[in-house]
Amino acid sequence: MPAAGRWIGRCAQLCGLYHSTMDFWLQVVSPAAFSRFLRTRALPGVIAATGAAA
Amino acid sequence: MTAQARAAVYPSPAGEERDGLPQWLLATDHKRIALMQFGTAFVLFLFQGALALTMRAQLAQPGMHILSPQSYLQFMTMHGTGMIALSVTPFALALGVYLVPLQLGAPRIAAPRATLLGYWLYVSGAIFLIWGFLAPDGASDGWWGYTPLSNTVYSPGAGESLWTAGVFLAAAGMVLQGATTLWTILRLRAPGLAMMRMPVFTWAQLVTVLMVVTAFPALLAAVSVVALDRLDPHLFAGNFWTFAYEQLFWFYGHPVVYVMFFPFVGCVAESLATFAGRRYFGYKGTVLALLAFAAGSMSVWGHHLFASGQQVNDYFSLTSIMLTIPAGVEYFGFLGTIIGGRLRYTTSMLFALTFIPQFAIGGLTGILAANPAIDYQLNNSYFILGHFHYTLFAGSVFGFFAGIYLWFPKATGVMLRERLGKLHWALLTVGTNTTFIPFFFLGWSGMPRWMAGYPANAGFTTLSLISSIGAGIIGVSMFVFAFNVYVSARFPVPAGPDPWQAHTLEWATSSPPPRFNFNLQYPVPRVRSYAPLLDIREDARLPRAPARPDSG
Repeated sequence: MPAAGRWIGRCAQLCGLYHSTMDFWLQVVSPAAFSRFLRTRALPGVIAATGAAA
Repeated sequence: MTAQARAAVYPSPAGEERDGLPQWLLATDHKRIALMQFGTAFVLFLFQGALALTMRAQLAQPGMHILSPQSYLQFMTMHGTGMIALSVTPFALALGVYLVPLQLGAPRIAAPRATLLGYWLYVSGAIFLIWGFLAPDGASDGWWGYTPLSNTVYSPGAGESLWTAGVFLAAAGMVLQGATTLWTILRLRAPGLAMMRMPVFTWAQLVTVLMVVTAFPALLAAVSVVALDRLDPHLFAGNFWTFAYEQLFWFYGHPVVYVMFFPFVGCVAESLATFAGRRYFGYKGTVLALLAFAAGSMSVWGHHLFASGQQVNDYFSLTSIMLTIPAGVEYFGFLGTIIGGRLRYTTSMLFALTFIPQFAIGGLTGILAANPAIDYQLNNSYFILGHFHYTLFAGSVFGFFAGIYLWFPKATGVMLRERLGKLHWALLTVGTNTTFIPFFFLGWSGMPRWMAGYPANAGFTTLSLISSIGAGIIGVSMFVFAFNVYVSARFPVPAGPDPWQAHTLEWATSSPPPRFNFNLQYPVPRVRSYAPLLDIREDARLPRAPARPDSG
């Protein structure tokens, strides 16, 4: 990954009717932030709001 | 019995000389079967091209402003399945059905009724596929029809079932025609016409039909799996059949690419040799390369499944990259034929010359995709679309038109207009490269296949718009071609038996050829090499061997 930040991923296999909107996001963080996440399970940044509930 | 003796002993039955509709629809003359197949496949080619133009119109701008996602996927499925099963494969086999008996000095094709049945199976396949396309829930899962997307849970409705039937029937028809062409090549060659005296086109057709009879049955099995899956999805609840289907499908799906390629290589080879005025260069090497190419292309299907995690990637990568060797030998043949020749730049020759660099782009990008490490990134992106549209459109379709402009006078007896032909060529070349070059860059920037639309901020807009403009130019060029055919038929310029000073036996008979191809007026000449008419012209130039009046 070139840099920290949010990167878009797109579905590469024809999965059905809404294939063209089948996107996902990849959050790239520093090793320190990642180990902090492993300790606390608290997601950093924007996806924390939705991801923490899971 | 030689062709001329047969024609003399068995004159045409009276019914065959009438030109009514029943005489065409029930024709056992291989030339009529092939011409009907050409006409059907060309109408469908224009229909599927119109689908592609509609999709390009949608993709010219972000968003879904013309087609809904469902309609887009239906258009895409019909475009892919139709181009492969209903247009280019039938073109490839119709070329053989028309030309192989003529090039072999044979009076007929072997098993003419089976050949005719093949045509009608193909027509019924076309009817089923279009019916399935027009159905409210048309097939919308691509030309692969992968399970589980193609089962009744995810593709309810009649469209997918009709797709299955259509693909099965069209492929079955092609198997029949492949078998009769193979039989003709093996058993009906004129006296003196040994295998190593067959023209390059007939060799290309031989390796094509070898692949048809060995690989197409895998498709019949594969779509039967889909049909069973649709009858009872619980049969295939496990993952086993999902992957078994992919293997069966690609065991057909890769060779079919070469079925849609070799006959057009043959067209290019004949066009280059004719308009360079020389014997085809490296004949034996080319024949060996064609055979090796066909054998090799039967063992590369796994490269379509590199990213599945279920495939022996090293092996299929090795076999795929090995295909560059016979491809290189073929290119030596092309280039050796034209280098040093006195080239005549007819429309056919221009298409053949353009085929050479354009197909090279398709082939070279294929070497990239044959590396699994690179393919993980490129798989199912627009880069792959660019790769196979360069092989099939910029390659095969250009070879197809090289053949059309070369053999149209033979099949109809009238010449096509050269200036309109050159306009057609120029527009098609510009349009093709404008359409498909952006695909490579769209793929690098991450645009996946099968996108019914894209958001405005994705960065795909400019390149997609350029590509759509190119597609419009391709559309205009097809109108020029249709206009050329109309003008040439309306104001005919007679062609005569051999308007091009060509090399092979079909040019020794009249245009169009008589019912049994050769007769007393146009006998089969003596065959000493793979360029018999060139031999005759060279003999005529020798001082000690004056031209005999019968040219025999």
